[in-house]
Amino acid sequence: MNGLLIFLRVESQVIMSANSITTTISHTFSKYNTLATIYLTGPMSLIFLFRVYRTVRDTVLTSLQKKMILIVVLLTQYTTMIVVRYDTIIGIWHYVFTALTFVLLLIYHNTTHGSCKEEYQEEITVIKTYVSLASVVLMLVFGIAQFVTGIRDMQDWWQVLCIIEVFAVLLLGSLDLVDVYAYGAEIGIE
Amino acid sequence: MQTHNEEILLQRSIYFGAVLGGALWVVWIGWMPFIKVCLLDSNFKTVFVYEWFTHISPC
Repeated sequence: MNGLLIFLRVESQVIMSANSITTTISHTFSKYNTLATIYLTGPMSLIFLFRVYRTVRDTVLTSLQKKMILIVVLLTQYTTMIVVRYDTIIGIWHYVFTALTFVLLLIYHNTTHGSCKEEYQEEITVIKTYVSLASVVLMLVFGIAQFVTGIRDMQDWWQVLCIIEVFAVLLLGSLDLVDVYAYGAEIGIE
Repeated sequence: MQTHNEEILLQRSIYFGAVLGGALWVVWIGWMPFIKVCLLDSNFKTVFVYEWFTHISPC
């Protein structure tokens, strides 16, 4: 009986959600915060471990620079969790910490080199620069559009903006994928 | 002192961990808003898994 009630409740929510408007990543963080917090523990920890490892094994950075970047990487974990907690930390602080997460990650990506061979360094730097720029520009477009009055009621524009936001975040994440690919090449896995 | 085999094991663990972490992150970002945008009204998995987490699982 209990199972049936849960099933009916799920069904009713599916029907309700079918009529809901397109939503941003932040709003899904807010609406499904329990799930977001549990789920994101995995990817955030794994990527954190990878960033720490790459920083420690960096062949170009000095010891002091490595320490500074490790602090940046740790701070990124905190700012990301603050962004995820959009159910309680809202308004201007959400935007401040989103921007801070972007800035900290860009600092990390533009200062570390890993143990990459020199011939790949230039190529990776060029790719990362373009991807970073694209990510920042798309996020700025999304952010500035939030100030347009009634933007959420313009269904078509709102959907385009949500896609822009997703691409901005995916591009930021793809900086790590570039690192993963480069690291795979370094250790003989491609 | 780390042996050569341990070093290779560490390197591969870090690599496959990062691949898994990246994949999980992309799934999340694509899953919630993007799939919903593409399929316009399909939010089934989101609601279903959320219900599973909050009502059926011991979490």
